[in-house]
Amino acid sequence: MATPGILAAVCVIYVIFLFAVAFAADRAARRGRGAWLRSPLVYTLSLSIYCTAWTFYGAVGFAARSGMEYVTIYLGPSLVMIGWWWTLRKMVRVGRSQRITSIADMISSRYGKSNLLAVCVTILAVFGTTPYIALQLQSVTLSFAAFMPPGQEGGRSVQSIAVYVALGLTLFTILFGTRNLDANERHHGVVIAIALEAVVKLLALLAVGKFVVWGLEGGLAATLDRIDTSPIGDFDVSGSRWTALTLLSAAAFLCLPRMFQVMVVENEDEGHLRTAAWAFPLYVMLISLFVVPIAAVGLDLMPQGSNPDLYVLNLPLLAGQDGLAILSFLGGFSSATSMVIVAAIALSTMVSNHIVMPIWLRATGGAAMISGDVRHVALLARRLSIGGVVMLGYLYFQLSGGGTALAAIGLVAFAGVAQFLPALMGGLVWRGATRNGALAGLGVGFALWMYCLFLPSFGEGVILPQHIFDTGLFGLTWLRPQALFWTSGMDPLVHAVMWSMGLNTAAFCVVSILGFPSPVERLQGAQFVNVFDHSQSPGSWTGGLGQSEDLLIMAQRIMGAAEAQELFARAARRQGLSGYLPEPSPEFLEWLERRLSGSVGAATAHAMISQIVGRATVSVEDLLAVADETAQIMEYSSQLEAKSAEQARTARQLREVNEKLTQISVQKDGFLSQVSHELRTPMTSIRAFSEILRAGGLSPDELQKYATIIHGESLRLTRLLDDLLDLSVLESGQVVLNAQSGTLAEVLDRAVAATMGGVPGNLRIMRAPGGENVQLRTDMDRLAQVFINLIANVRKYCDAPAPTLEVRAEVGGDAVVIDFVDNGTGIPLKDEALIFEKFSRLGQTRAPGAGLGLAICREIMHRLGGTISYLPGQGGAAFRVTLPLEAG
Amino acid sequence: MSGPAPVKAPDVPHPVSRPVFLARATYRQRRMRDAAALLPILGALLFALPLLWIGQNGGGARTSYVMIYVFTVWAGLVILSAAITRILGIGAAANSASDDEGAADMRRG
Repeated sequence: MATPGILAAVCVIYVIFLFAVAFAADRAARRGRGAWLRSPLVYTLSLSIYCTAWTFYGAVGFAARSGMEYVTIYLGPSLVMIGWWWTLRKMVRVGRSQRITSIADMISSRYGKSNLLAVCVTILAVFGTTPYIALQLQSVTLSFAAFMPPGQEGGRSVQSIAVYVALGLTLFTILFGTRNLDANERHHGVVIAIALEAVVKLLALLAVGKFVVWGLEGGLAATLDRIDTSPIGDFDVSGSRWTALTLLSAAAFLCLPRMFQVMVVENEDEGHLRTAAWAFPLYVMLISLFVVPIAAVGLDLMPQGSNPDLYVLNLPLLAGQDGLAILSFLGGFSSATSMVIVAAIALSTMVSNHIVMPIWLRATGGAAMISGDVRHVALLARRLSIGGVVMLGYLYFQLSGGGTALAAIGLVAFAGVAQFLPALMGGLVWRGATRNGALAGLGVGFALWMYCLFLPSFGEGVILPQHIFDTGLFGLTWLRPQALFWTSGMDPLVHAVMWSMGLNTAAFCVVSILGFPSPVERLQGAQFVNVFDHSQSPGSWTGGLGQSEDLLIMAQRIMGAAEAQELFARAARRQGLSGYLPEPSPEFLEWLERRLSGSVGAATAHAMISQIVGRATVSVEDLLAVADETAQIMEYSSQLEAKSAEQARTARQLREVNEKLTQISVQKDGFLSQVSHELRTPMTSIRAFSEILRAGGLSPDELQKYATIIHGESLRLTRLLDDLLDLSVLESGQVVLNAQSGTLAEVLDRAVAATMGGVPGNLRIMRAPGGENVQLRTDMDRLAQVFINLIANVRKYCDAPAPTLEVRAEVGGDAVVIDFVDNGTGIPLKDEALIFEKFSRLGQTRAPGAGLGLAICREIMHRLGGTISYLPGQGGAAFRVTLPLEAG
Repeated sequence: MSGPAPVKAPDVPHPVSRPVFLARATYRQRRMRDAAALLPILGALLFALPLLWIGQNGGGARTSYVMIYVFTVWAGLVILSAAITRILGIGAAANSASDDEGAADMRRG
C-alpha cells in the first residue's frame, strides 16, 4: 500500500520537476533558443487544459451516473476545433492584431474599449471560475484522501492539503505567469509545464484504461459485455440534454477565460490552429476513450456507496497496483494544477487590468505623470490578483464543504461563462452589435444563470429559501427558478441554459438594434468584423507637439526604461528622425496604444494615452472607413458606369459630328466645283458670244440670237449670285422682314403658280383647301419662296413615273403645320442630316442646282420663327413646315 | 478643344478584381476551405444520430454500440480534419497571400 508519505514525496518531486522544466523553458526562450517551444504540438497540448480534474475524475463519475452522456462535454469542443475555419481563426486573428490580453479585454475592446463592460465580464468570469478552482482543490484533496488508511479520509492533514496545493499553485503562477508585464508575451515556462502535464494526464488515463480493460476484465469483448450488463448498459440519454450539453461545452470552450488565454492570448502563430484542428479532437477522444469501461468496471467491482468520481484511482488501488495508482494520482494532480495556473493567470490579468489599475489610476489622479513606477504597480496588482483568485477558490471549497458531485459544479461554471458567447461571437460577426446590447445581454444572462442555476446548485433551501422553489419569487409561480414561465417539463440544467442563453441573446440583439453605437465602437466593430480585410486600424489619435516626452515617461513606467526607449528610438527612426522622440503622429499613437494595451489592457491604455494627448478623436476619414466598403465600391462602380455611359454618348455624338463634317467637306468640294462650273459655263458662253459680236460681220438675226444667249446666261449668273447673296444675308441676320396679312391658301396659290407657270409639267399637286384657310401674319414673300423651293424640288427630284405632291395643312396648337409629301423614293436615312446644309446636293443628281435651296428655306423659316424639317416614313420625300400663327 | 473631362478615379479602395476562373490548384484550395467549414456540421449530425436509435427492448440502444459508433465517427472526423488542414496548409505555404480571404470565399467560390 502506497502510504501518504510516499505520495507526498512523489508529489513534491513532480512539482520540483515542473518548476525546473518551466524555468529551463523560460531561459531557453529568453536566449532565443528552443524553437520547439513554439511548435504546434505544444500549442495543442496546452489547449488540453480544457480537460481538468473534472475530466480526469469527474468524467468517470459522470459516466457511472448517466452513461454515454459525459461524452458531450468533449464533443462540443471537438466540433469547435474541427470547425476552426468558422470562428477560431477569426478570434485568433483579432486577438493578435489587437493585442488582446483576455476575454474581458476582447469584449471591451470590441465595444469601444469600454471599461464598464470589461469590469462586468471580469466579475462574471470570477464568479464562473471560482467554483471551478474550488473543484480542482477538492479533487486533489479527495484523491489524496483515497490513499489514506480507512477512517482517516476526513482528517486534518487531508484538509490542509488543499492549503498547500493552493499556496504552491500561487507561487508557481506568480513565478512563471508574471515574469513580464506584457500579458501578450508568451509565458513559455507556463505553457511548457502545462503541455507536459497534458502528456502526463493522457498517459495516466490511458494506462488506467488499459489496465482496467486488459488487466481486470481480460480483453475488449469482455469489457463490452460488462458495459452492456452494467446499470449504464442502456443508452438512455434525453435528446435535449445531449444537444444542450454539446452546445454548452462548445460555447464554454470558446468563452472560458483559461481557454481564451491559451487559445488566443498565448497563440504564437495562426498556423498552429491547423494542427490543433485535428490533434485536439484526437487528444480529447483518447482522454475519453476508456471512461465508460472504467465506469462500468468500477460499478461492478467497487463496493456500494463508493464515490464513482474516484474510480480512476480506486480501481488500481483495489487491485494492488500502487505504481499505477500513483501515476493516476499524478494525472489528476496535473489536470487540477494546470487548470488552476492558467485560470489564475487569465483572471489576474483581467482583474488587475480592468479593476485594480483603473481604480489605482483614478485614486492617484494624474496617473502617468506622477512619480513612481506604474510597472511595479501593475505587476503587483497582477500578483495580488493571482493570490486573490486562488484564495477565493480555496474559500469556496471550504465553504461549500466539497459535497457536490464534481460534474455538477463543472456544468454550472460552463453555463456561467457561456453567457459571454452572444457578446463575443456577435461582436465578431455583426457590425451592428453595440456596447449597450452586450451589457444588456450579459446582465440578463448572468442574472438568470444566478437565479436558475448557480444559487439552486447549493441545494434547495440553502441560499434560496424553499418557498421560492415551490411558489416562485414574490409568490409568482412563473418565476420559479427551475420552471420559468411555467416550463417545468425540463431538466434543470437544460432549463437554465435555454432561458439564460436565449434571453441573453434576445436582449443583446434587441438593445443593439434599437441603440446607436459611438464612433469608437463603430470603428472597433469594423476592425473586428472585417479583420481579414484590413488588419491595420486607421489612426484615431490627433497628437499635438511636445507630448512625446510625456508619452516616453509614461511608456517607461509601464514597459521599463530600456524597452520603452528602444521602442521610441525605433519609431523615431522610422519617421526619419534621430533621437528618442518621434512625432506623436496618429499612427505612432495608435501603435503605442496597442503596445501598452498588451500590458495593461485596451481600456486602460486608451485612458492613459488620452490623459496625455487629450481626447481621442475620430476623424471623418475614420468614419468613412467605417462606412460599409461595399457601399463605397458600389458607389464607385456606379460612378464609373455613369461616366462610361456618358463617354459612350459623347463618343457617339462625336462620331456623328465627324461624319457630318466629312460629308459636308465632300459636299463643299463638290459644290465649289459645281459653283465654279455653274459660274464658268455662262461666263464662257458670254465671253465667246461677245467676242463673236465684237468681230462684227453678223446678220441682224444672228446678232439678235447671240445677244439673247448672252442675256440669258447673264440672267442665270445673276440668279446664282442672288441665291448666294440671299443666303449670306439670311445667315448674317441682316434680312428685313416685312410682315403682311393673308391666308395660307393665297401663299400656296402663288407658289404653285410660280412653279408651274409656263411649263406645264406632269406634276400633280393635291391640296386640301379646307385646311389652308388659315389667317397668317408673316412675310408672305419669304414664305412663298420656301414653298416655291419645296415644290420646285419635287419637280426636280421626284423620280416617280407620275409624280404627285400632296400638300396638307393643319392647325395644331398655336402653330400651323404644312406637310409636303411626294411619292418618290425619298431621301436615304444617311442623308437626312445633310439636306439642310449649304452646298449639299444628294448624290450625283442629274438635276441642275447649287444645293442652296433647302439651306435658304431653313434660314427663312428660322427668321420667320418657324421650322422646316424632314419628315421620315411618309412613303416619299416629305417636308414639314411649322409656322407660328402669330409670328412676331 | 473642350472634350469631356477624363474620368478620374475617386479615392476609394479599388475593388479587387476577382478572377472568374481559377487555376486547378487554387480551385482545390477553395473547395478545401468549404470542406473545412462543412466538416463540423457533418460531425454534429453524425453525433446526434444515436439519439434516434431504438434498442431491442424498446428503450435506447446498447451503450457499447453507441460507444463504438461515437468513437468511430470521432476518429473519422479527426482523419478528415487532418487531411483537409494538411491540404490547406500546403496551399497556405505556397500562397500565403491569399490565405486571409476568409470565409467570404465560400460564397465566392
